[in-house]
Amino acid sequence: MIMNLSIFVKIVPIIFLIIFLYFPMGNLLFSLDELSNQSYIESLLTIGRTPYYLEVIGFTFLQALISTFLVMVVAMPCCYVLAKYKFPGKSIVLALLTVPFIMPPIVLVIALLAFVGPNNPFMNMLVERLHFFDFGTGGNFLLILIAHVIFEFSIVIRLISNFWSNLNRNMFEVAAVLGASPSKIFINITLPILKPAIIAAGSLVFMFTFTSFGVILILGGGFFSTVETEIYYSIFKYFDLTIVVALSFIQIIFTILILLIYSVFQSRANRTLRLTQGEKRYMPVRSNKDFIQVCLFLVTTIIVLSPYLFLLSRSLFFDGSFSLDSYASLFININNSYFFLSPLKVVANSLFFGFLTVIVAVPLGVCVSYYLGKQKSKFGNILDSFYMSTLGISSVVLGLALLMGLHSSVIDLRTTWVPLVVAHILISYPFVVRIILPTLNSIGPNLIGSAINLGSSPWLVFTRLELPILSRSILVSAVFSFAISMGEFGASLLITRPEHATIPVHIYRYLSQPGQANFEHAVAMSCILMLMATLGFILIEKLRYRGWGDF
Amino acid sequence: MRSSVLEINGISKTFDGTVDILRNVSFSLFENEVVGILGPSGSGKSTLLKLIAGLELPDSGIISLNGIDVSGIAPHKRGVGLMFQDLSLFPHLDVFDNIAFGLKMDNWPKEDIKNRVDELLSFLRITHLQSRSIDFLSGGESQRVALARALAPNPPLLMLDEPLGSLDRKLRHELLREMKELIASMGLSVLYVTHDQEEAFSIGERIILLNNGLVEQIDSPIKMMTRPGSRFVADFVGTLNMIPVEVLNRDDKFFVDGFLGALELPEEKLVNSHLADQFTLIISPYSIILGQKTTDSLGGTIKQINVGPGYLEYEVLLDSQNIIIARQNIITNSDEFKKGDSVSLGFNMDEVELLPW
Repeated sequence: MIMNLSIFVKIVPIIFLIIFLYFPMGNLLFSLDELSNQSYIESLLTIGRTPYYLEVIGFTFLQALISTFLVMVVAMPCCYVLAKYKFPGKSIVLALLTVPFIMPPIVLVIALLAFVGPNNPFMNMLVERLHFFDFGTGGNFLLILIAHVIFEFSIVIRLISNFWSNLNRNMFEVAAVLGASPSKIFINITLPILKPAIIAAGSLVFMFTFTSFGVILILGGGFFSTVETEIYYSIFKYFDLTIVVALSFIQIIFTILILLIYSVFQSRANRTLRLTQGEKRYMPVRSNKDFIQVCLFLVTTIIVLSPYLFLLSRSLFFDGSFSLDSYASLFININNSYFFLSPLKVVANSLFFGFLTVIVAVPLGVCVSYYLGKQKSKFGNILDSFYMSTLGISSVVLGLALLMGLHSSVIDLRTTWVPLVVAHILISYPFVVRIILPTLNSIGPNLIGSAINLGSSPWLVFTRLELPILSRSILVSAVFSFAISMGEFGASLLITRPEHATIPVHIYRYLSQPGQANFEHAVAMSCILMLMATLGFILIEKLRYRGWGDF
Repeated sequence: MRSSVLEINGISKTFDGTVDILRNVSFSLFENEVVGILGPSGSGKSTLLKLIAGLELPDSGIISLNGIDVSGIAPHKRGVGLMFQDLSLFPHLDVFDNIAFGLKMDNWPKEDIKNRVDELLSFLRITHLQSRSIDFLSGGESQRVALARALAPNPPLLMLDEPLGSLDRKLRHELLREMKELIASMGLSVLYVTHDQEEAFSIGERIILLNNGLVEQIDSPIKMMTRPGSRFVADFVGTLNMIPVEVLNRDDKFFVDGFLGALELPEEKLVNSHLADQFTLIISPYSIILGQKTTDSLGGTIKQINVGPGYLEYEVLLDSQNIIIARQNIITNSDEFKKGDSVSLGFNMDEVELLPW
């Protein structure tokens, strides 16, 4: 029985990954070799020799680096405030800060576009007087950075403020008594201890911005391209598959490297926390200085959340008066288009795919966490990044691989919704693992050992002991993977057949058609998506129990 | 008279302005003196240390270090030594750098830091650990490192907050003995906070007993044992045989009358007795003489016999249903009485204490 269960846990994810990830990826690589007249080495060399591609790669790094730097600069003072003070409404603010992370990036993109759009007098002033956000110039770049900062802000807050407030306060007090002034404490104690957590959070942000797709595709407006969007353009505009493979190869190598860095520093951070975890102690706001710091934090929070609020108000008010017209017009097929889909159909699609994603991704994630949790070898970090690798694989490439790979002489899945759901599963299950693994690790071996001593079989231990303890985390991860499926854009854009359009893909279709009406549709649709994500977020907050914070 | 290192004058502290943590606490600590601060958890012991270190500020009262009022001085400029129960070693520094931390903050020259740390390492017999990560230290080793770190800058006042609290009993005894020797040989002035009476009495020349933020008694351990100033102190230090009594004066002789009947009391035991309206008689269990029961003597039945370290303890149930504890040093024929035996009780009245509470 012991053998059966552990083999099951090990084998199922591996089989799934082989069929749906490694086989299609391999197939992509080999079929491309046949299709094209260039070898991989040659196409890599082509990239190395073409200034345009070097520029794209350089820009990918540059924007990821600047985005990561900016996120850190904005988020670190906020983490400081969160780790230090208690103030009324803190838990609500903390919960609200989760919103950007669970919100699909396309919603943020639409919100920012609406914000800089011609109907905002404040923006008109900025564009006309100061030439901010002037499309075609550096404006796009600024918008990209803003989108990344807002989107990644909450990850940094979660990871670092959590870590920071768990540090033993006595340590800082001992340092003070030993003669360290507050600034010396920060430099000599706080910063070095936070370092692994900062690097881990930073590398995660770097990876997410390095592979960011929707933000660059839409806000870059064709002026800016990263490796990820270039892969997309190479497929659709140029159909140059050797370049696709070469770029994907470059992307995968870098993301795996970044994941390794993340994994190493995350485990160092965990070690530090194990050594110094203390009772959480927060200071009340006493002096003016405290008050100003907390206010600055609240202002930052409001700024980060403001695009979403703006989007909502924009969808509800037209020319200064309340109106639901933009929602109502979603149902009207103005152009009598063959591709017209009722918004209800689109929402139903997204819900259906989300549901399928959850019922596969969650058990898969539980199996992988179970295996990784039991894994004690020194290759743990590598194994971890192996299972987490879909976090780093370009969603566009994943989509392409699934589109090309999921067929054989017996069965052809390409025309069904299967590749789409598989892509969503592969993209969301690493998050399931990241949520479940910490809880699983918190169940001490003693508890399991004593259960086994009392005569429980591993299956009983799992169903009667671990599953109930994990139930909250499982629910949180279910909501989370549902949200990811609802918001997934890159792979969906590539795979989706017209009748299977998901909400983000549908928004993009509105956006790629000219005219104010289409943009209003995109705004309304984004609000629907935002509403659904908010519901998911409320569910997570209700269920949260040491649940997530560790990514 | 030794000069005082620390003067605490009327310190009060509340939590959020409502709950009293410390109420009008005053005491002083003399040079080379070890004072144990004893009290149950929540009595304000740790807060007292934090106020002295400057980590928290008192609502009222004055704290002076070496005669200087330190009220407005930040913790990093007070120069006291402090060690917490959880030790709070810096996880990113090795043993050497942990110990050297205070010296670096004080801008000592590199050479001097090395010498000072080496000296402490060898003093505490942990030289072999100097480049070890604190991740790989045992409980006792971590404890020594934390102590060395607090001692390194030669603080005029060393404050230890439950320094042995997280160790097991055997190691605690061993380290307590070591620490006593160390404190004596270095001539340190120490405030030693603990909730463990045995630990406090073993290390402190004087004991400050705190209860609910109030100083219950400041005395030497022996005084506190023999003349506890209140019912709380008596309970806390484990006083046995507390008998509520009335003081009677018959024909110029004084008697105490309680459940043991009227006992004649030597006059010199009546110090300050006019100040109180109720009294407690304390009889040390070693001042009770057990004998064969005779008809007219005060007596009872042996309810239980316990063996302690070096003594035998008899629980005697009196006819009045009260219990008296008597102890005898263990000698070869200590099995004189058996459970259930009827015994008579005699008291050595020169050794009793009459307390005004």
